[in-house]
Amino acid sequence: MVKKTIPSFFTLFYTIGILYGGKTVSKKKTGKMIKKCLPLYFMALPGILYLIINNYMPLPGLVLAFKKYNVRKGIFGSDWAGFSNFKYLFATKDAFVITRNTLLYNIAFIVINVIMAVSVAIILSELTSKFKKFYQSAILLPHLISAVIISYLVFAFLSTENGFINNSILEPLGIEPISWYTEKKYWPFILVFVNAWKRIGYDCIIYLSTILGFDKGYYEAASIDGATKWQQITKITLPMLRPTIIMMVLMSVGRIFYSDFGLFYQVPQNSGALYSVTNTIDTYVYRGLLELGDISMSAAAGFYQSVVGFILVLSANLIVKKVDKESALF
Amino acid sequence: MKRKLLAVIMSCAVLAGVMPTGVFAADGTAVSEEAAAAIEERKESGEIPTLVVAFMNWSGSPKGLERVEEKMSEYTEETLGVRVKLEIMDSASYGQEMTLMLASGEQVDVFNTVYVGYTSSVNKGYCLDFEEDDLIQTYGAGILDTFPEDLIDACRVDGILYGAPQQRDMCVGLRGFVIGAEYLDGIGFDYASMYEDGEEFIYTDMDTIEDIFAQLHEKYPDKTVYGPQANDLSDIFYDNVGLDNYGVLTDPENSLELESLWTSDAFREHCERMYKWNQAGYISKDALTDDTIPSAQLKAGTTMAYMSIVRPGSAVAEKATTGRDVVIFKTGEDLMRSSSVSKYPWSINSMTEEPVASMQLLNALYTDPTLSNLICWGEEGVDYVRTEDGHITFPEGVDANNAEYYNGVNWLLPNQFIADIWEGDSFDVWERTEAFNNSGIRSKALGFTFDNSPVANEYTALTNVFNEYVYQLTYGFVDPAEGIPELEEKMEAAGQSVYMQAKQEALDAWAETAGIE
Amino acid sequence: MKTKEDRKFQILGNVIMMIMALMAVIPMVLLVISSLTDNDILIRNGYSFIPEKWSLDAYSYIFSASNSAIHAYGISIALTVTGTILALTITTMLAYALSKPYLPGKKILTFLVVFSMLFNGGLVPTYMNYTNTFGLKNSFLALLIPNLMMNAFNVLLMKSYFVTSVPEEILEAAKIDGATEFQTFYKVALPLSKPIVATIGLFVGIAYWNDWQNGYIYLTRRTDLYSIQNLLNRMIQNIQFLTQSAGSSPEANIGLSMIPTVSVRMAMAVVGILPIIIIYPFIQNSFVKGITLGGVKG
Repeated sequence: MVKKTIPSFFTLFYTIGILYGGKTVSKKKTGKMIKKCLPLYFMALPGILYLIINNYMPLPGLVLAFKKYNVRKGIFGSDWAGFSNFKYLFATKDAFVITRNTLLYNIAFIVINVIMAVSVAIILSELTSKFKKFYQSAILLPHLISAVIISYLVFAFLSTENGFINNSILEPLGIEPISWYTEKKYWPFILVFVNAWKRIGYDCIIYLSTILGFDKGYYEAASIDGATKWQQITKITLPMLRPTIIMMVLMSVGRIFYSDFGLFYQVPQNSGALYSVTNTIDTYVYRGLLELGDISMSAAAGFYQSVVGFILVLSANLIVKKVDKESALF
Repeated sequence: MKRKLLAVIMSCAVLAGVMPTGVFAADGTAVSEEAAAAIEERKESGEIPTLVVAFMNWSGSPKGLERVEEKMSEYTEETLGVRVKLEIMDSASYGQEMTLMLASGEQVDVFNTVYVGYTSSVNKGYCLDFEEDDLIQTYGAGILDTFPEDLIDACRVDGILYGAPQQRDMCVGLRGFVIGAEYLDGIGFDYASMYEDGEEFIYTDMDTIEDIFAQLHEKYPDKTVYGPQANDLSDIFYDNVGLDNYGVLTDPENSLELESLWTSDAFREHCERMYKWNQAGYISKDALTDDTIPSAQLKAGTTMAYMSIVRPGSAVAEKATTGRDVVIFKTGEDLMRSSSVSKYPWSINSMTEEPVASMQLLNALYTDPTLSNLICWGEEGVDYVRTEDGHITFPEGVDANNAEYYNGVNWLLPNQFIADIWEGDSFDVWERTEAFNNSGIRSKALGFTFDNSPVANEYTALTNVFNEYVYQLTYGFVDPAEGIPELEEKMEAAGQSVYMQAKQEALDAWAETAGIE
Repeated sequence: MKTKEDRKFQILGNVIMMIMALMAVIPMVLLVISSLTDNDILIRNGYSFIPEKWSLDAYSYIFSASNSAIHAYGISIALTVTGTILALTITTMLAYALSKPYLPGKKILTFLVVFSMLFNGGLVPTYMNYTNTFGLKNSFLALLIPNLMMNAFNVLLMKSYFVTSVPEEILEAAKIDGATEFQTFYKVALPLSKPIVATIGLFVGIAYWNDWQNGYIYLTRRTDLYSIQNLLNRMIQNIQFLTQSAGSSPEANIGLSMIPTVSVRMAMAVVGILPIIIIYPFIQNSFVKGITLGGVKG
């Protein structure tokens, strides 16, 4: 694999770079520039090297998605299988359900998490209370615990027999206990809530640290001019935050066909009754292939998710470029 | 080159009907001259190969791994001219890890196919043909001697032998109910008199069980009477040919015709009973989502009974797990399912660089009591000691929690029958097991394995339907009158007929080659 | 200037944040309490804030001599510290280089970075790469290198920060004063970037601390290299796995009884989070410092 990687990728990227990059500078100027930037290249080297080792060397293995793998023939010697490894993702009724679930949840997540994380970051940046540090540390906590533990905690609340909600909230109010893990309709809300709960602390740090880097001068000038807090937020903070928000959204779009496995598999306790609202591409593949152990089929799933994300990011990036050139990813 | 030459000579010898005899292994079993010669050659060459043996246990690589490995290697260097490296991985990661190791060509020589899948390993080309160049006949004769021929044949895939079974209980005693003794005492149920002479279990019927449950529920209203679990399904009388539930044999002793499990009488009966019990309040409302297994619930005192398959030694085992006195009621038959023999055979990696040495090592694991003891129990004196009456047990200060080498998977290892017997089990437990194996109802399809890769798409879809609908029925949360037709419909929509047809064709083809009607 | 509007905002903000903080903290409290609850009670009554019976059994099990939890702690710490330092080094340097608009080939390099985020070779090729080509299996490097040391996300975040918040003028000024590119980076750009460096450092640190997948895949014999999260996750995966197999093999039942129980799982989760909770307030200081240093007069 090593031998095949380097020349083929160099060619590939050089071509893409030229096509995408547009005009090139004249040769003489470029040559001088390169010399001048030599130290920068050295600085970039370890990072690029890591990318090559970690991400690009295994990349040709993607071809597994199109092969019928036989260990004796190796990855490149195995027979071609065309698109047959992909069939199981599309040929079933479930295909629509899992794609719909994955997409809709991710869109909901992106929208809600951005709104909430930005809001929280703004609030935190303006607060002067002593509790600020506590707030920020507290909301980060959920991010740190693993999905399985989260599923236990959710179970503590939603358990039909012993759960906090059934026992300590509904019962005293005289409402019938709900069998949470077999009722589908609540779960989109539960999952969006749990996802937000888990991610806000993490996401808002990014926005917060960006806000903290803003030039305080703008705010001083604005308040001297008599601007209200709300005006300051909407006219200064948000616009300056725009590049960061756009970047975060673009990156989420690139992963739109992936899902947080722990969230969708563990938290609903793998309950069959909820599948039509909790099954995503990742959990479907996992459940189906767990026993088959078919490498090519799972490679096909990964390939499918990557391709869709790639196309979406490229398109979204092109759109963003038209609107606000600075904010585009590349 | 030398090996190939030996193989040729050996083949000729066999063909000429000459029985190679006269040489004996360290354990006293007869060994072919070629085999002995191969051992000598390795020892004299000065380059002793190290073979990797991989299998799983419940908690991962044991602390005493390197020590036991060393002890084994010392022994095998002398007796076989090989050294041994053990790769013991925990059950949850074994499947994935082995797949990675096998797929990437890492050194693995002898391995167990549990959780990796025997048939799928064969189909992916991971397993070595045992009979290629008469490998097993020359170097693994001990394995062939250990089992009756039909059990060896049960491990054939498309007629070729890729693996060997292990010595364990192959039958399952269906619908055994494990009930906490104290609760039976509480309702005044006289179980002591129900035991027949020397039996471990009480043989009874479902009516008695339901009677007991009704009484238990009345006496202990805030305890769960019965804890269902995922594998209760395997307590139903049917044969899951091809190791899946999509198209099964409902009359395995007599017929090779596949039927849908979901419309069968046995399934319906089970679900109806579970529904009845659930409605009566015997089953916890959280049963579907709580992942605490019933035996742990029994131990904690939350649940009073659960179902379990029974075999000789079960009474001791269940008591050890639950930490309580339990009574086991047996209401079902003994069944040897088609897949029971070839569930997790031992195979040799097709990419191994030492096929002869690997086969000889595998052979020794089946025939050499010292070696079997090493792999099953560890190092004498450190991991176990002998008791006065000939059993073995933990040394002073060692227990199941801090033991350095205590895998609990002897049923997986090649031959636990020739190793020492742990305290608590009777000396005749293996004889009784063999008798148990022989007495059960044998499925006609014994030995059939199914390569489902042509219908892998349907399999994925069916599995998803299974996970979504089946447990709700088998745990009694859904009325079978509605639930079963819905389940059947969904299975059909997922392609069950297509899948069953493929399996039936494979089954018929296999039956023809195996000469079964 | 404390206007009435300011005060309203402060009160509203505090209320909102307090609610959110409590929503985050209360489940944690439940976690800690259940780790201190007697295991049988836990199974019988479920999780509650006031258990019937308290017990330290879970923690004594974890920290008992034969158990590797303390050692795993050490591994986790070593891994996180090493990993974070290395990761920050290569990430910041790459991001800095990419933030220079005049760098020839910048577009290609940036594309290289982004593309790596979108396509992944898959588990088997990655495994083959690290095990066969680089021979990292069952070593400390196998915990350190795969996937965690740098990712496009962090690089882009940092690059974006350099571009928007570290003005070229200051860097130019340093160069005129005779600093080399690297000195400019180290002595001028980095100190100005404290918030983002702290942020990325935090992310990377958390990622290393929480990672169990590298250990799960690459460590089959070196149990002495298990990190705390690896240990916990193995335990939980085993429990889940065995639960599914329990009915068909009575042996699985015995296997399960050999693995610790619910309260222990809770305790391990608590043990896993503790160091981060302790360290985080210290990192937070960098954010505060960022405010005072971040200003540059136009």
